[in-house]
Amino acid sequence: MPSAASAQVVSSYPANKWGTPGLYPARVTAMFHSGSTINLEYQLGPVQQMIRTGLMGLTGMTSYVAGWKQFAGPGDVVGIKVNPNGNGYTISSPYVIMEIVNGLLLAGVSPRNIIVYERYAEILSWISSWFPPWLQTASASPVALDDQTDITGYDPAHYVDLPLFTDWQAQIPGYQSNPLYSRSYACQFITRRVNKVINLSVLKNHNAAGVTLALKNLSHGCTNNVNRSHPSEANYYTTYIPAVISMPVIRYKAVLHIVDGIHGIYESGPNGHEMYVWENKTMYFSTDAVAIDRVGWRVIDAQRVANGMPVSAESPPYIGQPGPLQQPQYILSAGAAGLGESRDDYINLNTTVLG
Amino acid sequence: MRIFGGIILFACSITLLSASTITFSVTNVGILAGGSFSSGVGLSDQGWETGFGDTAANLSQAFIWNLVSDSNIGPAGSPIAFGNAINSSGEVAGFAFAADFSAYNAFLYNGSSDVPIPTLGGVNNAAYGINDAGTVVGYSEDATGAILAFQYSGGTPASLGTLPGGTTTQATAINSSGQIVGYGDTASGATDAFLYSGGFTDLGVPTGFVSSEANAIGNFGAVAGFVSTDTLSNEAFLWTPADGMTLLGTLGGDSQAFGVNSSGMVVGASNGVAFLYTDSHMYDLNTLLDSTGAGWQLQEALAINDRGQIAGTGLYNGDQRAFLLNAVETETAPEPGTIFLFAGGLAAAAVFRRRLIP
Repeated sequence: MPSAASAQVVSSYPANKWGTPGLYPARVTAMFHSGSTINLEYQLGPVQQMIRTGLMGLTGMTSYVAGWKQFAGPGDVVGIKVNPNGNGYTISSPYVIMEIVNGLLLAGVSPRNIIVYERYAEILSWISSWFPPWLQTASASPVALDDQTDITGYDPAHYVDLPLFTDWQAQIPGYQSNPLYSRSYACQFITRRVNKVINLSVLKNHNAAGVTLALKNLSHGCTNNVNRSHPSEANYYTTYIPAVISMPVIRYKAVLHIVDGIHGIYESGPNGHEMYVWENKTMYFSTDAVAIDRVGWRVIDAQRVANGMPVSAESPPYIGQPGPLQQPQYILSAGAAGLGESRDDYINLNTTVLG
Repeated sequence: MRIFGGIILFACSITLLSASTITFSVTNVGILAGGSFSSGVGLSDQGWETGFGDTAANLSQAFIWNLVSDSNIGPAGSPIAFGNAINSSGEVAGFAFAADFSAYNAFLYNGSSDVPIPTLGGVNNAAYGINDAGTVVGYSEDATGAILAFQYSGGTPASLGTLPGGTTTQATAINSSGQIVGYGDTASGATDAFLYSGGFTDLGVPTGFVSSEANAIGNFGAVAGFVSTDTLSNEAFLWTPADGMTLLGTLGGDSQAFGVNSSGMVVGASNGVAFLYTDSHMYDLNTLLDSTGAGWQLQEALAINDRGQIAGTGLYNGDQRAFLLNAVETETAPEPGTIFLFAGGLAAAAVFRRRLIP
């Protein structure tokens, strides 16, 4: 398996105080509300309360607007990286997205400078009909393809070069020296169109990565040629994800990470069967993408164990089927790479029960 | 600004105070009844402030602060409204969302009520600037959905059009002479700051940057805004007709300028703190506060008037509050500072004194 040390990161963007672990290293704020979902339907009032108090809890501010203002303000162009991919119960909720938009507006961000982003336009279209007409959307690629090496919509000046290849790439002579195969380019949306990103993921198991939360929402949502992180015979997330998140233009623009865990899916994700969806009724907030992922990983594994399954790191892609073990350990390697706190004893998790 | 003696042709201002001697007192603008936060955005020459804050009804409404108290100016029925600019008559330009959040529209508060400003034929528009003549500027969608800068003096708003080869513009401020600033795209696709005075002047982009946006204009034509690299790392600028664009640096991270007065004093935000740029130096405003600054963290300064008063937003003991800064007179001997000679550079020597105290 290639090591992280073999990665070449080419990306220039000035370091700032917002990049993970960000303003509040190792701090994860969790907001539980028993009324946040009823019969797998999000409830607006509780959702708003969870986000507003979550921002206050994370930042220590006395108003949620002041909390948002820690992350964005007038002059900023803010992208919201959403996750519309999955079964209908574990995708980004319109209530959640619009409450984030509300917070950004009140922080002083112009409505023209708020853009909802998903890497694939086709997938974004699954939820964009919920949005008010004035809210802008953006994508990097039109549709998801096996061959993700087209760099249209991506930035040739920002990439990570790694000797990882998909199955089909490895069949092509000279593939190892083809930069289109060895590189993943950052999307132009994050390099050129926004200066801040709110990273909104959903609490989900992933049949290869183990979990898909803040780190993976960014890494696989903001670069191309990502399939090489999970060719058929092995998983390489422990290499791929820390390398991508280390790109300054990604790391330092993603200022806040929110994991929507009102619903979760603990097996067969990210697009899994509804039978594995549960009402977790909790949202998580952090500036530390590693710490929030470590918390989410534990929550998903606990749900797996409660349902008689092995933890994700000891599980094949799908229960009872052969394949490489899931690899949530990328969260640990991201911590080891200095991208945040992955050690349980050092993570400051504060959970508030709102109702 | 008060000018004593001397002959001024076109415009000339001299900053006589060394910034190291400037100290500001902070006034807490407060909150609307039942609210929890306020944000200060616009400032008139007499020190009245506009902005927005929440109410007991959990709405965010525009306000006017008249040195004494905050008044909710609505608009009624809007869940979120913003007061963005205020003139010497107490008129406010802003915009407000519809109750269902489906659209937002510009309004002019005329001292007693909110008057909707028509669009250029589209759905959404927003107002960001107003001068003492009551002319409002902002942007509007037209019937095709294009975003265009407009000016409005009652009746029908007028589009400013676009920069050569461009498709979109946005106006952000207007001064007493009717000069308008903003930004728009160009034939190359880049975004450039502009000065509009019957026609566009493209303020350009300095080497190393790919775009510029103008946010404010002083009454003598100094323009403030920010430039961006291709990765949207920002740096504040001051532009004058005589000197062109001057980059102002940062306090770490990046910087954005939002206000400028007739003396060319610039305010904005850098690395999460409010700054004042004067005398060729950028100062963290938090370091210039007198004893009234205890408990304050000034996060952004969005406007400065010709009396040197500054409006913005900060944290006061952890609560988000709009603030007004007043310069405190010092006994330190003044020293010459920045000099601007505008409009052809013909300016006579003058002896005048400006006082920053209200």
